[in-house]
Amino acid sequence: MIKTAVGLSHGDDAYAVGVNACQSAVTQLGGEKPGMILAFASVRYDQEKVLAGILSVAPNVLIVGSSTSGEITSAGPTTRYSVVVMAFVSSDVKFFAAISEPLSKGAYEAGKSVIDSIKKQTTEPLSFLMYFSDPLTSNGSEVLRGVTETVGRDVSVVGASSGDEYQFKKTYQYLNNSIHSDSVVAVGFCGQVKIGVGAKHGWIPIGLPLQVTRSEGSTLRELDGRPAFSVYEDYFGSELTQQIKSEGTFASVASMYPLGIRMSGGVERLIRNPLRLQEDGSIVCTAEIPEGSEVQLMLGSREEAIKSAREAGQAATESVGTLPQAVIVFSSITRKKLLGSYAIDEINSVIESTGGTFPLIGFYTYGEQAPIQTLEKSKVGAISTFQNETVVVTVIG
Amino acid sequence: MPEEQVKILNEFVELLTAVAKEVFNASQLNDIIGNGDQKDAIAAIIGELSKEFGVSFAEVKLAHIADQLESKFSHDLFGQAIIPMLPGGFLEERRLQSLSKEELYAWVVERTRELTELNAELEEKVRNRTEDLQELLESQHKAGKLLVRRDLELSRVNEKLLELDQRKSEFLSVAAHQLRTPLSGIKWTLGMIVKGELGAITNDQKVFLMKSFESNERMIKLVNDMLDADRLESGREQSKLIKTQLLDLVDNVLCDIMPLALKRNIHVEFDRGDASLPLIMIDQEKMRAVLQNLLDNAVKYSREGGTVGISAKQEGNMLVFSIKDSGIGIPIDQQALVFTRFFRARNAQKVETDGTGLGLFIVKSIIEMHGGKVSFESKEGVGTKFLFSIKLNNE
Repeated sequence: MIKTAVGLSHGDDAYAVGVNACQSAVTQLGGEKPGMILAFASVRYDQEKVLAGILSVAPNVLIVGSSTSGEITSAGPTTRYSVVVMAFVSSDVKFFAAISEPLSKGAYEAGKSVIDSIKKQTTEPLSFLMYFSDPLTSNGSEVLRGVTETVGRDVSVVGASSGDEYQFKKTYQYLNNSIHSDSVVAVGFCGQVKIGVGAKHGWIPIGLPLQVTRSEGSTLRELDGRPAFSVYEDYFGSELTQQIKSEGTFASVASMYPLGIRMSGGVERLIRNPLRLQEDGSIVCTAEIPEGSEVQLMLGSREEAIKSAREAGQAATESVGTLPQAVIVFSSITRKKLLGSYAIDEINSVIESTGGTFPLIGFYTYGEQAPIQTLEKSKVGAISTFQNETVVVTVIG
Repeated sequence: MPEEQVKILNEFVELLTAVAKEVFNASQLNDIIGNGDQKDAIAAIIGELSKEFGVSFAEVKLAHIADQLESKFSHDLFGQAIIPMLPGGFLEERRLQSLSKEELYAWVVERTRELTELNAELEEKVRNRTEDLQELLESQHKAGKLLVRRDLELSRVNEKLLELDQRKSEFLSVAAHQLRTPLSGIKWTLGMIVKGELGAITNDQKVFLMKSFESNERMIKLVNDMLDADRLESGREQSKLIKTQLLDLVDNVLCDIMPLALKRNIHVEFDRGDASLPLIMIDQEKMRAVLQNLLDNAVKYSREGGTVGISAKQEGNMLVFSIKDSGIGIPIDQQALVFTRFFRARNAQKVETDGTGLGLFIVKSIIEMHGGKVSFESKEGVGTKFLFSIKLNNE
């Protein structure tokens, strides 16, 4: 059995906030030394100071974490920037973590290297793997492929892309006392632990389908034979397009109208967020959009977003089949933007659907990696996919 | 017609009629056959059999009769005498076998013409349908574009409003900070003048100066409320949780409120329940502000001579506190805004010109900070009941 506790702290002093958040979680564990600490912090803090604060309270404890675009606890999204931690204690479960080679040297290789490093630390089979990666320097699908192909089909994999609050400049991944960028950090759970995962987005397609006529990895060059950006010009109209171009806000605006890839065998579309507009009109996305596939512009609604969070929570709880001990939520930053002051409703519907009061932690991400619901049930072995605009609920039983 | 042909035709009619008799009664059969000639009668029977039991039923029966007659007479004789009597579409294979080369050619030409016509008709339909579908898709596409554009425009306006709201909050926070020091200075100076520490003043002067002093005090309260609200919203302040008996805290706040209640002739009832409540982990100073705000509102907005009912009780694992007044109530169309900053209901503004509109925002923030929930029920002109609940074992 796993026991967990969550700590949250606000404030201006990064070190003090790290200390307070960790202290709060560790105190709730009643003196037991945590086996692992998950830490999520606002990018506005000096990341090293936050980590130093956490380590001062929990020296020699495995620490894994990520910078965010907003932190989450059972009280909902934190109102101002904060640090949240979840401390894990278990006599049945062991934790092993590692950091990858730089992603920019090869996304697949980085995903593979982080799993190889974990496998070197233990001969026991992994029960569950969670990882955080930099979405700004690589094709997220490639990273995921490197991870899943190396870890094997029997292991449930959930991932979240680190955030930096819509700046799209630099994100951070933490392992113990070191802060990294351009990397993947992963933590493997070994031993008796039940995991349930649910992932849904609830975005709906609009307008005519478009054929991907040219693409390379995560760079989408042409749709229906025209530069990819022309689709957005078409939808936004020339005046707004000019404004968005001059403000340099394409990524944050277009993330509200992402591209949905139609998949065989599923109603739910895989969503890709545009990250960067290039001079030739091509668009760099968070993960690949295969040439020949059919995409549509997608639109979100508050109601559907909240409904999909409930469905993800239900799916995760059903598949874990036991009383949850902890819940981890990764929700797209776009959902936070879409929901605005209703973002708390999304977390509340996760809490209601997972059925109770237990420690909950999470953050707003640039990308989510989990088995998407309509393709395969969230059973162990279902293949994770790279997604955007999605809420991923992980229930630990 | 040669005798052989007449014979086979008669036998055919006999056999066909026998089939018809199996499924139709005599009067139905008479109606079917009518007064036409033999060919008409055959067509009528086959038509009716097809209509009632399906074309393949009729075809099977005809084939069976054909087999019988062909073996009794001959294949050729059946072709010559019977096939021309049958309506088109039945025993087509036998019909083709009985045709001469010229007749076959004519038949093929005719069928080809029919098929070409049918094909053209279908193509026309498909073309029209495709056009309809294309139009539908295009209008859907246009609607999609309009939807995205409108959504984008609204989102951008909303973002600007949120940004403005944020700036407004920041400005208010800065303004409140900047105002506190000079307001304290004015308070201090006015106090000295009123007390005569800076020289004697007349009674008239004192009355005016006291009014200024009170106005300044109200301003200080507003500034303090604004700073409290700002601190609560930013989450900068940590709670100092202490085990507390809520009932004692209520008594304490009531002592402060009673003079105003007595002055307005308002009856305050405090239902303490049967048992004493368990101690609860709360930030005393903040919870005091919650009670102060709720009680203050209840007394302030009750009619003179009205009643304010307070109750605190344990419900399961929750402590539930309620305060009910017989006051002016909150207009239904403004109820959704009750907990927002600077909100004051229009009827409240008429009753009480002073008021910051921050009290209930502060109440909600503090209760939620304690992991609790606050709600209300209200009817304009009748009264309002505020409720909050906090978990008892929130240690």
